[in-house]
Amino acid sequence: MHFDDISSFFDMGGYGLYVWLSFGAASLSLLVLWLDSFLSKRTLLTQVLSEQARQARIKVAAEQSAAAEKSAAAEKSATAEQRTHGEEI
Amino acid sequence: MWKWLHPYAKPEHTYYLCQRLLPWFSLLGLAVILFASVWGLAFAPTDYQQSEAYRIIYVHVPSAVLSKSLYSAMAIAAFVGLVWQVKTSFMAMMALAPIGATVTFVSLVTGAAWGKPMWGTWWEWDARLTSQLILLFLFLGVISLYKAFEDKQQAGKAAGVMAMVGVINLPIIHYSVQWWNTLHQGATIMKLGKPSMPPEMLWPLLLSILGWALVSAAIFLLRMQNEILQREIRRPWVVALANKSSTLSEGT
Amino acid sequence: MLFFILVISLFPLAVGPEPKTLQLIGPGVIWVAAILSSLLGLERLFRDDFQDGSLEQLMLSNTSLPAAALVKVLAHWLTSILPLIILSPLLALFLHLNEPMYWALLKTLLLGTPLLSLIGAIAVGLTVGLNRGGVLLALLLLPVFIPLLIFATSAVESASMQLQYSAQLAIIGAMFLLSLALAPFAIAYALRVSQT
Repeated sequence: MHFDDISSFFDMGGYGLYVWLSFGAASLSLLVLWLDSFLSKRTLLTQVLSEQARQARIKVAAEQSAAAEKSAAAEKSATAEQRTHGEEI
Repeated sequence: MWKWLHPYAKPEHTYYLCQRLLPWFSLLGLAVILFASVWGLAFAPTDYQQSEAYRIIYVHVPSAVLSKSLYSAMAIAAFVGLVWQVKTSFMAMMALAPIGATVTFVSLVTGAAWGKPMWGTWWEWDARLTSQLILLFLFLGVISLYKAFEDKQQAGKAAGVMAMVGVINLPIIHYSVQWWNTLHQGATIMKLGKPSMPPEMLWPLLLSILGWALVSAAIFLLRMQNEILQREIRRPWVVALANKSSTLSEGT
Repeated sequence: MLFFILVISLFPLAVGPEPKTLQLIGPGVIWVAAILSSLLGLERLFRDDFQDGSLEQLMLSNTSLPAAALVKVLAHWLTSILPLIILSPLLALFLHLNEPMYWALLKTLLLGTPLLSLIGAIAVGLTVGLNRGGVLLALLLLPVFIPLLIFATSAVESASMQLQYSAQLAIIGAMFLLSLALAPFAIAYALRVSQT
């Protein structure tokens, strides 16, 4: 270790402000850049999942309404049949 | 000769390559950068003329070196994309640009922080700093141009053209700024130049440059993946990937 | 044009009428004015044609696009730059430039300003049709114009010290010839990219 003690390490021969400002700015910039990249990736992947869930919900709703229509149509033809059957009798 | 590159024109392929490389570059990069920085800060000897302030070199030089390499890499990606119409190349170009801008910014800030104790002012129009400032504008120009287009195909080509115009001008700018600086030379001379550095100072510097390069590469891999995901977001392979990664994280 | 005369007139008012000072900043001021004038004109270069559809027509027609681009560039130079050059003696007078300085200035303007139009048109070709294109245009072009600015003002400065400035002129001339040869094709390509 080049420095005798921790305080002289922080002091950097009087130039502490500039040295630590530089290293601090560098670390902060890299950190922010990395965070932005990492968080964007996570956001993109969750976006995919929520879009998938949305599509699934739309599909289910479409199926349900299709099924409801089908049974309504079936009921209608059933009652129509009953009527004609009743008329025949 | 370039056949081995062909599969990587396919975004899916490139994504998984990035995924495989990511842990290596990230961990190695972090380790090297920390090791080199600690070495430079605490263990390297003092400089006769600049006392402890010279230690800023361990962030200033790597960021400056990387800023120029990243611009060249970006320009190569632009060239490949424009000439061979490879979409993944444009994605690489745009993945590199923000990293380049960031390291250029760091080189400016650290240059200024170094300048204050050495020259007495926070800013000096010396050749080095002026060139770096112009380089930052070039990066920002490419990024802004890309963002201005809705169609990402168009955006890639347009940004690619500007990246090429920039790279052709880069040596001209460099030379002219250096020349301009010698004309208007005041009392300040950037002491950096090519000092004959003793090995105890040089090794941490070289290692720092390596560390910065590895970390930049790691961030590039991440951003490349993001570019790919953005383009391919509706594809089945992306949906499958998202499901797999969510179940993995649920497992932990 | 009047705008630029007014702006340039502001400088003596701002920095004081001392001839020495004005001589120092004069060439720079005029060149910066030329660059700004060029930028303003560039925005309009293809915009009107783009808006009324004649740009599309031009691109679909049989005329060679690079040649048409060159014509457009010439039109830009004539409307945005030439007035400034014609007025330059007056501006030189305002800024106390002496005779050798003025001749140097004139030569740099004649050789160098076409570069502004040629390279500028490449960037305009890319950004025509974009919102807020103006600021983007400045960001893209200023780094590229800096060498020209440096060499031009240095030439005038050398002239003021009775020194040779043929080297600077040669470099500007070389840049001009290079762009003259390549820019039309780059402009055509840029238009194709932005107008798909």
